[in-house]
Amino acid sequence: MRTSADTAPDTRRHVATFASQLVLMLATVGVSRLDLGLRLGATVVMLLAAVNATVVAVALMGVRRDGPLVRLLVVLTLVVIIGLLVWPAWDIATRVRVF
Amino acid sequence: MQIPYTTEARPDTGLYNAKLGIWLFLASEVMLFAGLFSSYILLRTGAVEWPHHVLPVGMATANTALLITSSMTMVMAWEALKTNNWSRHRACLGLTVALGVIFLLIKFVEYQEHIAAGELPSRNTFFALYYTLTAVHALHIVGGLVVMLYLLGPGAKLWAEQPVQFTNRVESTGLYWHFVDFVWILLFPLLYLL
Repeated sequence: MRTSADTAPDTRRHVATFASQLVLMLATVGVSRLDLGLRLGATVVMLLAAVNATVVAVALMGVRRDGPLVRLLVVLTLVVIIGLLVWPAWDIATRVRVF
Repeated sequence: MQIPYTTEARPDTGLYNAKLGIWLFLASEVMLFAGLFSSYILLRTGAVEWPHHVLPVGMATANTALLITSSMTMVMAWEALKTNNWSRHRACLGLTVALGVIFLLIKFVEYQEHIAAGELPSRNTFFALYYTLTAVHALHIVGGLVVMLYLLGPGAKLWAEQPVQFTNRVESTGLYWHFVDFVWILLFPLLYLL
């Protein structure tokens, strides 16, 4: 069990996490308002959202802190996610357009 | 019969059992949402036309800020238990519940506006996906709130008898709540901004 003295650095870390998440959220909204074209705009917006989500996973959920089993679980989950997203992307890329 | 509960991390997994359980549960939840995201990409890229900026960005941005804040208060609620600060834990967990309820209220107002405008799931693929994705997410918010209300109410008495077990319960609930935040952070730009 930690002492109350240990909480000060954690509070600072959580405030930093919170602030970075808000900045990333506002940046995501701001970039979506720019006229970057659909492809570039969507890429940048989703990249910012992915960074924000990674902050949640690493800083709040403690993916790195919780040891090798959790990291393995996360990697396996990511493999499945990439598979689920790449499969339709590959299908679309190779599909004959009829319109 | 009393179900045996171990509060210590197992040497083989490095985690206490409940934490391993919640991580496995979250992995299965990822499969659900990844399937939905995949369907979204497939349907969107295959569509001849797609509506843009038809959803209220202001309300969704406010909701995103609410969930981010609630994740922060959830961590603070858990940390308060680690330092034996019961009143701070109650305040932070109560605040997390309040933020979750406000999120649902904003979502309710949003739904009402769309329904009043005749924008039902049957209108087009976009609205079918919008209602499916946001409603599944909202149900997860409701699930988290039910658990947190239990921890604030009848479940709170466990703190006096088994403080470590109670702290582990709050940590597991927090992991679930952060995951709900994680999903919304990805849903928000996909539906509202692009």
